[in-house]
Amino acid sequence: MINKLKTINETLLNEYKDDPEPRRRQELIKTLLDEPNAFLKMSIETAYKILEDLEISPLDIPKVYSELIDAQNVDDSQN
Amino acid sequence: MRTYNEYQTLSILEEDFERIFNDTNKIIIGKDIIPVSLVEYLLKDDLSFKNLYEIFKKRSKVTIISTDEESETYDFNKIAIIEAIEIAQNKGFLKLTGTMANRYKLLLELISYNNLKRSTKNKILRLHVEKKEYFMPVAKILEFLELSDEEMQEYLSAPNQKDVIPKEIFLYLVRKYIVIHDLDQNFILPPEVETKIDKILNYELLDFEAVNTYLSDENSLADKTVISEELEEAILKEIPEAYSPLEKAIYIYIKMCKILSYNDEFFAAKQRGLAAEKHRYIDYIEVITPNYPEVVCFEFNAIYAKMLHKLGINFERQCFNWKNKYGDGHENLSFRVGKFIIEADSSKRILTGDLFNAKIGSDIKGLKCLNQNFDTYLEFEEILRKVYRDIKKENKSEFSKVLKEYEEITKARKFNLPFAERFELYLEKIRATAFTGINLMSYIVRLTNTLFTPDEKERLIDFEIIRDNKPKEPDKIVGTCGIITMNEKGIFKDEEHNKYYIYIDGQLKRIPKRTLKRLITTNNLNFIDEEEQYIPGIR
Repeated sequence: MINKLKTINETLLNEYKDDPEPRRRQELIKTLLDEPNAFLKMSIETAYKILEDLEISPLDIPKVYSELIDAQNVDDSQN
Repeated sequence: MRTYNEYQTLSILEEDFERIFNDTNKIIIGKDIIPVSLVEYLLKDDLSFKNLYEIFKKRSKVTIISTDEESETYDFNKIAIIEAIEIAQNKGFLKLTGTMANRYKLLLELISYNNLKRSTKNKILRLHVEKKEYFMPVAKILEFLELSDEEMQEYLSAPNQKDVIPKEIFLYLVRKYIVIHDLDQNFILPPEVETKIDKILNYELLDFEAVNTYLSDENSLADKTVISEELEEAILKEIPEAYSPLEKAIYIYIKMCKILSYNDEFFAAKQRGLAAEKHRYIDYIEVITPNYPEVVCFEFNAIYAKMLHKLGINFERQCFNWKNKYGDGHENLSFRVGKFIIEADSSKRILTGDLFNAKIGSDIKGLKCLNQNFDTYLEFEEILRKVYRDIKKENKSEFSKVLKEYEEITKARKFNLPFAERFELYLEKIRATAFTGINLMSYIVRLTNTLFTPDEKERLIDFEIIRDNKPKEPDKIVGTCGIITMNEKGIFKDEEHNKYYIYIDGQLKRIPKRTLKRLITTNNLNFIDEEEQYIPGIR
């Protein structure tokens, strides 16, 4: 799941290359996504905001978040 | 009849003592509050001055007592007494003429820096440092203290040379001399010398704090500890060969925290009874493997000590029990690598300690640099972060800083999710996790902190870990179980309608209040800490 979010983030970074404010958010999100189990280290409100900024559908956000805070469900790249 | 103690006590007749210490005219020097009439008395009275002079020769403090044994006693630093005389003169409280003036000069001369130099001209300091004997002329020590700032900087920044006493050893000798002879308390020193002494005492000029410490770990547990090959292999897997000894020590600690977990049964039994018994024997460590990874604090300690010993690193165990015995009470250890003195404690706080932190990539809290020098402390923190990043295989992380900036620009925390929705997610995550034992309990603690605000944790939801006296696992005497109490109207305000959930035997389920109460009163379940624990609405 994290790798999918990173891919979305890369796409959005490109899309917003001429738009400083949303671009800055995506840059911050990129750093946050690099941290193992990042979503267990922030409040649910911040996590939802990140998923919203990554343009995850509001209906899917709870399910995606649920997957992200399963501490044993991390991508291999973060082992 | 006044008595005279040759060490540091000066006795004054009761009526004089009372008059002196009822004098409201006092001089304050640091912590010392000195009556003007005391210093006048000491300079005037022949016998008192004689005693004072003898004390000044040998001691840094003067204790004034009364011939009335029930009176209070007063301690004064001798330099404070001299300063009090000077201030009393300057303020016109005291006029020194004739004998009193001469006596004052004698005392001043006794504690002067010139007298220090004269009296130590041919003296040698002899000490064993790092198993070698050193003879250091005291004159060299005083010469060093008189170096200008530029000369000092030049000395400190030059590399150590062959056949010349290393800087760290030399400074150790200097500091030892200062402390043994209490230089700054016994003599009035030139300000530049005093400043240097202060910096040397606090290891500010150069960090030599580790010199002459941890010289061996003989009579340690390392010889008696046998670690399974499987466990050792798992710990050392992928350890970079190019790592320094300190980096290796840090790497091993973190890997151990990733592989091992706190023993659930021992936690539930609160370190007592049959459940705790097998852990009191060091042989038990052999059974610990990556597939059977549960440990308690002294087992972790013994394994880590053995690993350090193999690296050639000396350590000391710290046992927090009065018998200093293995298997009884909390234990951690400290060790030295080069100039660094490190403390390692993986389970100071069991649920939020490194045995869980390392598994989810949270900050390592149990490895601490004990050096007083702040630069050394920062250097250690940087090395720790680097090794942890290597283990996590991540790029340089500034997670906390970045998170804060993101929350500020997006005002993320104002985004309001209903409590009920978060609680459902909470239950779902607990049901779905593969964690077990204490790791599971730590995970629930982490989820509670992530999903609920501090106010909600105080008023609407509570999580307690209690003891299961009848665990399903046949080889366990006791186990842990978790109780969640929830009430959107308030777990204390509306106790009657609290909802309870129990995590037991690998399952999370809703439990009626009366059932939970019955399980506790019939001793199927118990509080681990009878005094500290409380389930809202139950007890």
